[in-house]
Parts: sequence; structure tokens; C-alpha cells
Amino acid sequence: MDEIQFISLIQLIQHPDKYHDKMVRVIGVAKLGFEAKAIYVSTEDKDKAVTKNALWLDIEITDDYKKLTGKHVLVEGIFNKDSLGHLKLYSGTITKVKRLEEWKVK
Amino acid sequence: MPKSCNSETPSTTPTAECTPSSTTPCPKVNDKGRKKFATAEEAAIDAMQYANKKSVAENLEYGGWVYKNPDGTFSYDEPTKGQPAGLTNMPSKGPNDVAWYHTHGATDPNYDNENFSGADGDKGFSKQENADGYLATPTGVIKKYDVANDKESVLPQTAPP
Repeated sequence: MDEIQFISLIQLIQHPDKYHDKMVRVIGVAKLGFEAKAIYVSTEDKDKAVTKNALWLDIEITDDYKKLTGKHVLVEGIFNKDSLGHLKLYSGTITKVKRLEEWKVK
Repeated sequence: MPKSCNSETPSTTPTAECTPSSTTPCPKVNDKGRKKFATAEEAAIDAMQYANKKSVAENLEYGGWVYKNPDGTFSYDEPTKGQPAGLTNMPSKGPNDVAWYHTHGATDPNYDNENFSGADGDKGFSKQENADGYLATPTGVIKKYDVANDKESVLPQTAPP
């Protein structure tokens, strides 16, 4: 199994070929709801719906996940550069998500 | 009685102009064998009435583009099948595509899928593509998003699941 690459969302979005089909760990801002399952670079991007500064998350939405909207989250999974989410609005997809949890700092 | 472009009456003048008020019967299908309609809205409604049954039964989204034919009529190709809460393989907009439509799968208590999604979804897509959007909901309601006026409306037609 490939080593997890802990990288910034910006780097991932900028170099999709480099990380395609690789296990990645990223931190960003979540938006989790109907036709909006994404991790954004920033809160401002989320609020302004700058979806190209975000990745689609290939997950089933649960009530617990919905509560993460607006929060910083850590996501681990396989990056796919060719799958662009709902209506191809996003810059890629994280599939086979192994971790999706709030990123808390004290 | 004027014939609409999806009339069962075949045309003897394939290049005849086809409008809602046309008195000349229009050809039933285009050169791809797809049904022709007088307006983009009629085509979108027909597409959703066709797709929503499958969409609800399979709990998958379906959608695609309505395009303008050379004679001024409108058609749609076979709807594309997506995922339960996302049309992830929506075809790119072509030069003759004028409006888009999609369905929302089955009713799901986890989601508000009786409405268009917002700026990061359906409405944002319409704005980016500058194209009106049509939606058939899980209960069969047909809605339109008018991109120029940023307004949503319910159409009188339905798309029963």
C-alpha cells in the first residue's frame, strides 16, 4: 500500500497528475449536504461557492457528517483527478475515504 | 390546428421553420433520430418525464443537455446516468446546447432533494454555463431555474415517478 501523502489542498489542485490514484491526507473546510460533498481550500471559497478550489468527496452523507459543514476537517483517501463531482464543478475527487473528521486545535 | 414539433404527423418539408405557432407540421425526429420539440422547455420536460421513472426507481440522478437543431427545433440525447446525490458525469456543454435538465433520484430523508441545489451545485452550474436549468424532483414536480433573472418556478407539467 502506498504511503499517505500529507499535502495542502492547493498543491493537490495545482498538480493533479502527480497525485492521481495516490493516498492523500488533506485539511480544508467541509461542505456536506445534498449535491455538495466537498472540502474547500478556505471558508471564503466555501461561502462564495468557488468549487474549483475544492474537491468532491465520494461519501454517503450522514447526520454526523452534515454537522461538519463549515468546520475544518481532515480527510484521507484516494485522489482521482478525472472525477470532478456534481456537474463536474470541482477539481477532483477523494474516493475510498478512510478518515473524515473534524480538525481541532486547542 | 397548429402542430407542435413532436406531432405524430410526419413532415413533408423537413426544413420548414418550426415554432409553437407554426401551421406546418414539423419532422418528428432529427438526423440522430431524436424527437424534436418547438421549444427547449418542451424538450427538457419530455426528457425528465422519460428519465424520472428510472431515476426514482434506481435512486440515481439522470440529466443532460437540450440542444438546438439546425431548423430551430430542440432535442435531447439519451439522459446520462449519475450517482445517488450527484450528476458526476454530466456531459460538457456543446455549441448548440441551450438548456440543461436533471432528476434527483428517490426521496431521501437525508436530503432536501425537492429543490435545486445552490451556488455550489445546480444554480451555480446554470450561472457558469449561462443556461436555464430544469429539475424533476422525486415526487414528480418539475421546476425551472431562470438563470437570467435568478428565479426558480414550478411548471404546471409533472414527471411522475
